[in-house]
Amino acid sequence: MKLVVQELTIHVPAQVLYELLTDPALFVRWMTDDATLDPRPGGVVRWTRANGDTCSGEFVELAPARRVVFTYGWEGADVEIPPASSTVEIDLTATTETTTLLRLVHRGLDDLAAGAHHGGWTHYVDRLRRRAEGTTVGPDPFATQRVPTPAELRR
Amino acid sequence: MSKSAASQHLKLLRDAGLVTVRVDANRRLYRADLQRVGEIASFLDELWAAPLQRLRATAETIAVERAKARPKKRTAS
Repeated sequence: MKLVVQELTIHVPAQVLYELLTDPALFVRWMTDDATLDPRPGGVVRWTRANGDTCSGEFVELAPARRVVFTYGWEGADVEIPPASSTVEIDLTATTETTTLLRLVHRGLDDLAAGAHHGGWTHYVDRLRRRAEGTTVGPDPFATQRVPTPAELRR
Repeated sequence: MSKSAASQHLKLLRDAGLVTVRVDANRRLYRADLQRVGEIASFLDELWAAPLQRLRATAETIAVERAKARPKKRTAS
């Protein structure tokens, strides 16, 4: 099951994005300053996020300027998704010489959703909320919404 | 969708805390927990959307840096 799909157009050649995704010296310029990458199949991919979470997995597939696949999970005993338990696929499609469509699919997060009743989601959401404190967050579009009750719907 | 399939789906949503259930006589009334749905949407957004925005900004900066560096390389060679 795929839970996350992201698509965005970036005004650079596909090769530049491939390097940013696989070259340790460039990866740290956008993801986090604490990362280890060994860009070959079976090589480690590991980074610690600004909120203290460490993500890790292994490279599965590397096709220069076209595709990067790696496994993904979180380290830590209190975390529901073990390292390498889900898969991130990133496809790069050159739309012009200097424009690339990036598509990211994160598969296998089912366990994370299923683990929610063990506190998995709550754990992360609490961390995110703490991290968000003091930063500008847009208004919550859900804050004032409410599901109508069946009785209200029948009116 | 069959009634039992719907029940299975609703059970998953309930286990994940995305819906709450209220028993009214012989009916079970499900209500979406929109705050929780919003929290999970934020989590998924934080997971990849934010890093990819940084990737885009960094990539475009690097492309500009390289474009500036290129004429120098030509004169040197």
